[in-house]
Amino acid sequence: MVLPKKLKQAVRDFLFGAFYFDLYKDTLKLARNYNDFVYLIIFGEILGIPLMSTYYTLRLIPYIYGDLITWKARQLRERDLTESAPEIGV
Amino acid sequence: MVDVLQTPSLWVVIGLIAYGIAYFVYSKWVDEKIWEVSAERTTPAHMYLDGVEFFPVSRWVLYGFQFKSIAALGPILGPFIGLTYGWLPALIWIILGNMFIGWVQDYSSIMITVRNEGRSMGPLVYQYVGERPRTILLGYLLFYLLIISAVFIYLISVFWNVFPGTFLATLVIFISAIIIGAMIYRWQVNIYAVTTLAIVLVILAVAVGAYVPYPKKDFLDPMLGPGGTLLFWSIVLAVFLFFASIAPMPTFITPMNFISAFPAIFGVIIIILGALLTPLTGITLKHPTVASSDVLLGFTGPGPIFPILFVSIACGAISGWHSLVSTSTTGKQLDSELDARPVGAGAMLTEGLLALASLAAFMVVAPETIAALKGSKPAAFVTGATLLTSYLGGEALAAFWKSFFALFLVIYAFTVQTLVTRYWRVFSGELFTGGLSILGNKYVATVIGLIIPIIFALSGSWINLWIYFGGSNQLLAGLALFLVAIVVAKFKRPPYYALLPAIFMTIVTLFALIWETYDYIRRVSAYFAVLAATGDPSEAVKKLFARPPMTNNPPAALTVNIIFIIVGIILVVLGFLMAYYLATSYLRARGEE
Repeated sequence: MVLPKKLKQAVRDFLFGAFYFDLYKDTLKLARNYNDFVYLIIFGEILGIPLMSTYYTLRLIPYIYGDLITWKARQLRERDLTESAPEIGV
Repeated sequence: MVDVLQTPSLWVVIGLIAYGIAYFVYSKWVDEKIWEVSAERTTPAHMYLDGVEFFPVSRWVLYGFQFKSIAALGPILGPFIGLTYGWLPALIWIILGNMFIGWVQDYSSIMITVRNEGRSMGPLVYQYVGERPRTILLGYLLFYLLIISAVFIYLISVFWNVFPGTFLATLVIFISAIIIGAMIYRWQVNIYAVTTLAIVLVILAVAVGAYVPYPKKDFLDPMLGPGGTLLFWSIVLAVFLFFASIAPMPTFITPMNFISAFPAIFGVIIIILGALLTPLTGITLKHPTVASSDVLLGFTGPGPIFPILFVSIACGAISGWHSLVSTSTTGKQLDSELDARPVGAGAMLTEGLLALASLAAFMVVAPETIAALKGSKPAAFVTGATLLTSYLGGEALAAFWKSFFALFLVIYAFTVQTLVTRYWRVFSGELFTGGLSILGNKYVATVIGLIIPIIFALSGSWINLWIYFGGSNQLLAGLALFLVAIVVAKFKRPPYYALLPAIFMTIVTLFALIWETYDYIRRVSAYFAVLAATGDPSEAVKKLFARPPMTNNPPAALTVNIIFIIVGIILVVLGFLMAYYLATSYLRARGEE
């Protein structure tokens, strides 16, 4: 059966809307929540939250200097945010 | 071949025609003449594009999403209670209600969001009505959540009890949800492979339900006394709900929602088809057209037809819940204003069709069969739906379809309930601060949000709970319509298409809530009258709304009945206040002209 292109697209869209759109949006939200969390910790000072991160970074450098290289490598390793989903509880 | 007039199909077709007129004529007129939609006007989806909440999608995607979000248990179970008055009044209300009120609310809620920078219900009420009404709305939602929980907890427990095997089937679905969740989020498997597996697992679950009919109905009653099994199932359910609602979304709730959409939409389609095919399958109407005048006037049964019919059939005719869906999600993703009509009006009218099909599923079940179900009458849906789908395999597959429809209702209710319980917890966390912050604690809030509904579910009768639920839901609809009228008046357009339904819905539902409260007061006073006459609480308790095991404990049954009176009074007072604020805001909006 050959369906007109427009109808085919409409059916595809309907099925996507009915079955996947919810999941799709939930996933987007999940990702955004994680991002927000990270940003909050790093840039919270912009929002006026007194995290004093910049102040402490300077003071802490002498103590963590030895660990910095391995820490950097660990952080830059590719990983998926959802790996730690159960611990945080979005 | 049977007489077409004796089958439900004709009525569904009439509904289809009526909805066609509503869509192609009335909604088109409202769309063009009142809202004056234009493809040129930028929608919030483009204005505030963030890729998460605000982003444009095609009208078909939104139509599918909107239909999935609104077509839940309301249109399926509501017609059952409406049927008490005979099928004709229910049919007329589903057709006319949706034609003139239902789609108006859904469509207009989308439009007010679109024209107000994508704001959702709470902020809109704040903007147009004021701060106190917004707080009242929140308080109102709190009660709504408790009542809806009671309804669903009762429903699931009854189904687990009445249909042996349904619990095992549900268990298979739970495990599937966990596996599917891990596949999507942890292992990131291709979504089509996941879909295939999900469908296979659902079929497996239905098969388990059909061919492993254990544990048997009332299997614990010999040990725990009458009603013991129901209590047992509600506690089992509460444990599941507890873990579901405190676990992170992607581990359970999100995949559960994803899986349940497949049987849900499939079920909806085969019921509608079944209703249309009745002249071929030879399934005829078994229910009386109009009930006796005693029932219509409310001397027996749930209450007088006005206002009870209008609150018992909510979704399918009109439902306030839809205004929340429309304002908080759909309105933010509308690509063009021209899409509001196919999405809002289109999805609602399709849901009306579903309500007609479910009504058909009840119309073909004889009243005697329903009466034989006693305390678990909603189960009649399964009998009717199985009958309607007999074109798919006949007798040979009857057990399979029976299991399918039982599971269909259970997972529908369960997915909604996990979200409601979770929402309650988040809500409590926001609401209870300072000295009461313990009530907002993650675990404490969840436990409270489950225990209160269980007590409600075990005590009141199913119909009364449903009417409280329908009443608060319909009142929300009335309020949403009022809000629409205010916004339309502010735009200096004629608001009557929304104002008249708003007034109608508000009056009808306030009456219904008052009737329900009065019904409980009547029961409690009858209790005291019998107690004074006989001095025997176990005799007096029969006057109350109570079921075993609650009947064994008259003081508890009495307390719960009194709590229901209080809940009723609170709902009525909140409703009146809200109507007052909205009406004055409306008059103010008109005065600005």
